[in-house]
Amino acid sequence: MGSRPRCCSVECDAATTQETTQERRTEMSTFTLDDLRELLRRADEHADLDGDIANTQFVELGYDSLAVLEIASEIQRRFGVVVPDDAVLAMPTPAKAVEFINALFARCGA
Amino acid sequence: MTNGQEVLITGLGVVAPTGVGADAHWQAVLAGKSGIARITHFDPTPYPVRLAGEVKGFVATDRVPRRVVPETDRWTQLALAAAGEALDDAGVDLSAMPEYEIAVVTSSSSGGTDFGQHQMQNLYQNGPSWVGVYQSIAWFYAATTGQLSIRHGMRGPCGVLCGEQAGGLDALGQARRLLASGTRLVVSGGTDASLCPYGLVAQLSSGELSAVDDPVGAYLPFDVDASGYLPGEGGAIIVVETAAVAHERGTEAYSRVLGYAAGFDPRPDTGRPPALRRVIERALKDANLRPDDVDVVFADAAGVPARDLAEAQAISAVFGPRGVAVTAPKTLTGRLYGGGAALDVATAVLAQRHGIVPSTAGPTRLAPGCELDLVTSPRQPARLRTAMVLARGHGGFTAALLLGRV
Repeated sequence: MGSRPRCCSVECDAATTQETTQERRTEMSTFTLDDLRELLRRADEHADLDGDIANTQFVELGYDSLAVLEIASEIQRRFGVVVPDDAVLAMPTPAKAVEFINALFARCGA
Repeated sequence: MTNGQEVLITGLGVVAPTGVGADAHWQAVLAGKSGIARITHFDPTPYPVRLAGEVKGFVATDRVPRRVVPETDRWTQLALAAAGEALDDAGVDLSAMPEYEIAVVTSSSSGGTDFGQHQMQNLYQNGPSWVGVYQSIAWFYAATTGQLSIRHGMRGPCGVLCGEQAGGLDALGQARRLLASGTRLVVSGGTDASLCPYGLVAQLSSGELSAVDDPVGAYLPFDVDASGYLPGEGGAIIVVETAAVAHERGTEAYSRVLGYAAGFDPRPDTGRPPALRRVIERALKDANLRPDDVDVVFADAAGVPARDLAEAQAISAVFGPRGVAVTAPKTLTGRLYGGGAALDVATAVLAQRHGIVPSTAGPTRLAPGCELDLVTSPRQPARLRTAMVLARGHGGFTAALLLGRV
């Protein structure tokens, strides 16, 4: 059994207590646009993400809703927070995604 | 059923244990070069079946858009590559056709088994959130059809046929129906790729795989030493269109689809005969042909003694004992399930083009009751106009397709 997620809500417990990952979860602090860039590159190492992408729609960057959902799952695994499935709707652009993730970190009491 | 429309095969794409590309496949078939070898995708040591026909030298990232690779199972990647070749071969400019009049109908038997296995491993080793989102679109039978449709903007009627080894013929049968009702071009055929531990174990449950650990002697259809079949991966994608459309764009066709029929075996406890003989007869009737019009039969060749005998008896009942040349080049690849009959069609079409009947590798002594003119070395018959492809899928699926040289 891995360490308990740092999130404290009942919902988080229900969703994650069965997880047995050996990987140490990254400490939560502030989630930046560069953190997101790194995750986007994991999905596509050749993606052109160097410019000002903050307010560009994910779809225009070549990431469809499933790709964004996959990145949300990666954030969930890496930081031990529960990202609801419908969070994708709140993350149409990288800037909105960063804002949403930071709000989630704050709620889960980093 | 064809509504007077002549249906032509105008493009072939092959990704098979015998080679990547239709030319490589045909050269290997002619040379009798087998793609059967010890499984390398995983360590087969603990399994009773250790031989298979794997597609070698296929690097997905070289042949499939890089963003699509992590979203798809190998079976879909093989089809994407084969479809690219088939559309190039057909010389078709899809942008010049109404997108809703281009259809995709493929055959699938195993779905995305390998992809699914890895996601199940993530689930049980790490937990639910480790299951990747692409599992939702990668595993299911229609995934290949969907990816082909998206990749090439083909938005006409789309579907998938799941008839195990018979599915490749059923897909072409469905393509023919669509071409009779307004569709201009269909990307059809199929692939399969289930050579992973999960996929192999599922296949073992049929009890029909050969456990003989010798690449030359394991899969011997119609032979006295038949011991089952070996599995393989890959298949063929086939472009079919109406003669009117092919003529309009001035393309040269390989072959005509002359006739098709499908049936299903009765329950084993009824004592009624299997469907194959009736299916052969109905396909001939559909094509308005007589048995002696057929120059070669590409057999289903299950490699299981009882099924071999049933097929030999059905062929003999229609064509007479040793009455028609029968061949099974699939002895070089193993049975490819959803891709198997599609590859047989590609091989038959190439045989018609080159005027050569390729051989069946392996069998040396026909089993008692198998009264077949089995082709064991390549032949150049005086006449090679009409070929029949037979296919039987696990559980009773049965289909026959007749192809005419253009």
